[in-house]
Amino acid sequence: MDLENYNNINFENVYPYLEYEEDDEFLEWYSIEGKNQIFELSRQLRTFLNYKKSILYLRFSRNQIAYTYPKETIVRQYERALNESSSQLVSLLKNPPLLKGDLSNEINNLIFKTLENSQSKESKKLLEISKLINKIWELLHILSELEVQHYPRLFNRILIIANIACEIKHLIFPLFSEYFLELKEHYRILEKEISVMKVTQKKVINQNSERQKERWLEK
Amino acid sequence: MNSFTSSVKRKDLEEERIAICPQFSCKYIKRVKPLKFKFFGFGKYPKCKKHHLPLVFIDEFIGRFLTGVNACMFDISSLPPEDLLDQIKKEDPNGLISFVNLWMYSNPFGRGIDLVSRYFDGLSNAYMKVLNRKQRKELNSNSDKKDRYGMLRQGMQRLVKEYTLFLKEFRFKSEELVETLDLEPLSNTSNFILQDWMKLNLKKISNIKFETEAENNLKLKYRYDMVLNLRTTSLLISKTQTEFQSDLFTIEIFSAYSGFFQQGLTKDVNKKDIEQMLSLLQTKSITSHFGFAKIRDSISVIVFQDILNDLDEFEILENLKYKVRDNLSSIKDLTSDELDLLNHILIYQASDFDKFFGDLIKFIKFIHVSYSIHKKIKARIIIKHLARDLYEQDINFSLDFVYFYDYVIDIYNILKLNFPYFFSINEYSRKGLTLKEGYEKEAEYRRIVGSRIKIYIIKNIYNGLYSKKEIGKCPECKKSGFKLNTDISKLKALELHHTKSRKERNYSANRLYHMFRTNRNNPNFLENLINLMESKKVILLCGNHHDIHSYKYFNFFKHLISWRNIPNNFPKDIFLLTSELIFTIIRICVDSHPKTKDFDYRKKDNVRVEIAKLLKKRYIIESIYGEKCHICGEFDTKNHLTSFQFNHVDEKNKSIKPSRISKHLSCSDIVEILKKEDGGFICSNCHTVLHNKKYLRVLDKIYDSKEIIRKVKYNYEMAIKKFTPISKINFKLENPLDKPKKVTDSLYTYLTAVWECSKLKKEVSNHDLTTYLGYSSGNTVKKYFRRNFDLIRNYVKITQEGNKPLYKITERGILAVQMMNYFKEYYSSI
Repeated sequence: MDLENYNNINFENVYPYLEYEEDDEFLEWYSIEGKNQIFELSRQLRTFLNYKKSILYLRFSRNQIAYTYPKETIVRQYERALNESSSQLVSLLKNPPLLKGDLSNEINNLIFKTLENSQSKESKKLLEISKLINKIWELLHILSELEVQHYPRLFNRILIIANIACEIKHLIFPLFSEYFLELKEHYRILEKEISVMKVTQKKVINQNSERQKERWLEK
Repeated sequence: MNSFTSSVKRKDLEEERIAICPQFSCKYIKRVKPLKFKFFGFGKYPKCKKHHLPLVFIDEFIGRFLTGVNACMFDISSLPPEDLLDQIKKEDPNGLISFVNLWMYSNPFGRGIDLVSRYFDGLSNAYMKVLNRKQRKELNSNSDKKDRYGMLRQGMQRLVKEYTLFLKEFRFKSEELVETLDLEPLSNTSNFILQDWMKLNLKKISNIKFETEAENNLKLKYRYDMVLNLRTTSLLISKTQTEFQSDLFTIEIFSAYSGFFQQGLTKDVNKKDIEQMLSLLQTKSITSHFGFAKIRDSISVIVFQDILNDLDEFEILENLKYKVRDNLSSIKDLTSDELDLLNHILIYQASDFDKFFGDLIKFIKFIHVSYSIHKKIKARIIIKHLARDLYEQDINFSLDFVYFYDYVIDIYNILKLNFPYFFSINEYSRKGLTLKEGYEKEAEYRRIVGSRIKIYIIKNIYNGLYSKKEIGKCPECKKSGFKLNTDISKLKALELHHTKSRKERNYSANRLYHMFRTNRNNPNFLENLINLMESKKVILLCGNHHDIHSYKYFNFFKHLISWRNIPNNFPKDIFLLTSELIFTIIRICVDSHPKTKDFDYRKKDNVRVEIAKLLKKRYIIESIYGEKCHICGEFDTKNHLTSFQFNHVDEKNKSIKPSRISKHLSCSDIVEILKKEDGGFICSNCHTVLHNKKYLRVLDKIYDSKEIIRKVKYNYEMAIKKFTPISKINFKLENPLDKPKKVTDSLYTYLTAVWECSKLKKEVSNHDLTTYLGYSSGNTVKKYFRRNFDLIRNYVKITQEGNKPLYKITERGILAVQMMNYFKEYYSSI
């Protein structure tokens, strides 16, 4: 979306899910959700920049000495929580699959069904997904502060989950749709970067082992 | 995004809005209301209580803040510093591009992008607090006013929009500037360079105080950039520099950058800037392209051919460009890949191409000119000298001398291989010699080249005037009918004499060599030198004749010193006179000579001592060796006294310069000293022959004719054979030139008076002399004769008639007066 369209954004027009016709209703929603969401935006930005910085350290830092990290127990604790929540999310999304297709189709379908009937199963499922996503983001925010570059596997998983979480947020909160779409793009790039990292690391390991072999032979 | 914000005016306000202090680090935030009836109320222009700045609307302010952030993140100054790049290029050229990419990748974090979200956190918090109060108020009042949350919506939309735009811009810029997937970690070398660079710059920056108000904005920006670059560096080497990492400091920088942006001091960096920077860096090293040496060699051959065809530098370069651009096949010996590389350099590194090949053309032209001059004088070339000269003239391809020297050798060899008819003379090499041997060989080289230039000049000056029948014959020797002293075989004895103007420089072989060295790149050096000599009327003379020209007082008083063409009634030599008379005559001569008579007392005394010294020299030489040089037998002491020099048998035993022996010593004392020195007097020409030993082994490199070489050797052997030191000769020596106690004009005055008075009377009285001399009293004359009785009695007979003394001039006295008058008249009439 270009800058001009952005300036002309109309709250009602971009709000198919929560159609608040009256200001009071908006205010009601805002008192429950909006305030938190505004905080969430800057929090999201902070989390992304933390992960970006972690990637920088992971890829290029010269001090990658394997040592016992003091925050390991906390990290592992949140890792378990994240695993749990993410597996719950996956099971929610896949079981039972409503429509064959990708994630966006599935969520859009849920939203459509909810709009048709707010008391339907889909509506409850959507609410559950929304709660779960918020929980996942909360965990991702916490983990971003724990220097995850020391745990490359976890880091890789975090980025995949963040990517999915952004997609879901983008779909279910249209007010911030553009923002989360953009954020998702950033996480996609980070994911790519970490996958490249794996290849280069392998290369380095192979080279090192070859050098060690040569040295051994020289002896 | 907004680049500026207007301050809050309550008069223009339609509804309540949130305003904030424009100072970036300030958290003063306030809800502002419209004025009642557009004029009633206080605080029409609300200000921050802390900073006293007019408040601005928060949603506009966020835009301004992000403008500052983006201006800081992606300013042109975010490119790596030049000095750092130069170091990395020099020491880790392969890691250069990787380093630049990594720098650009890390730059946003080095410049504090992670603080943006924290600042937003604080801002959102403050914003929401104010909104909640408003919200409560509105809810309590149960107002039905529509669109009363327009401000809230507007604020939210604005925030979302700004956050999204910020992220988008960050992504676009990152993607544009860096290929994130191609990044590689820093090499060890680059890492060390960064560490050193950081240490150095931390020292520099530690003394800087950041007083924003007093500073010039550009200066301030430069200093902030220094800090930001240091932070990026610390990030790259995984170190934290806490003094410049504080959040508050970063916010200050964003604030400053917002100002710089508004003043137009920032410039957005883009991919082109990075490419340009890298290409600028690579300009210095097109030589680092693989296979470039072969290209250089091939082009050297083409350039040399063009130089032989008399093309100038510009034409050669354009010719080369044309060949590269349009007709690649015309460059021989290059593969298609090499031709492609050359074409690539021409297109993408055009300025490098011009610089490198422009230098190469100058370089080859220098070789061509220098070699041509060497060929003219038939001297060998020394490659190291050539390299040094080129290096001093900044034709050095930006290489250190050691590498540059190799470069010169490579290109020289290639040219020699391709143009053997031009490079027909071998080069001179010091290879395999020790340092001492090397110096000796270099001195030898100076002798050869200097001598060859001298021969060239002698042969060519005045259209070959001195090479018509016999080469290098001294015209003065020719006149005198001398045979031994005057040809090219005594090259060292041949000198170039300035006849017209005052001497500016001598033209010895050594001096000629040095002139040649500084003019190696001047193709007309020899011709110009000869023209200069001709314009100054420089003529060829042998050393002996040149010495006579250059000895002023010998020429002034030659008649007295050599005692030639003197009236027959005078003694045969000056040394037969008494010392008083000799010194009196010297005195009369100096007082009479038009060039010395006006000298002051001290200067006249110096001239008198100089004449006495020459007389002593003549007396000593004639007493020991006779009148002529005992080696050549051609030059004599009377006409060429100044040409006689003292030669030491062994130069190592030399403890004193004979010319520096005191002029006041007696002849016997001087001879005693000279005996100890172990040597003898010979003429200057023969002296140079005796010193020819060092030339003997390089004669074949100096002379082309074997006959001359044979003659030089013969002359040397004969000179050695004939030379006899003083210590081996028996001789008797008197001291005719011992200076008397007192020499004044009185002797001449009184003798003349007595002589003149004697013409009228046989015997002259005191009264007669007093009258003749014009004295008022007779006592003066009386006193003189009484005091100088011992001196005067040799020339005047004094008798007593009663109390009155009578004076009668003797024959000796008459002769003395005649001599004195003769020399007085002789020198007065010059």
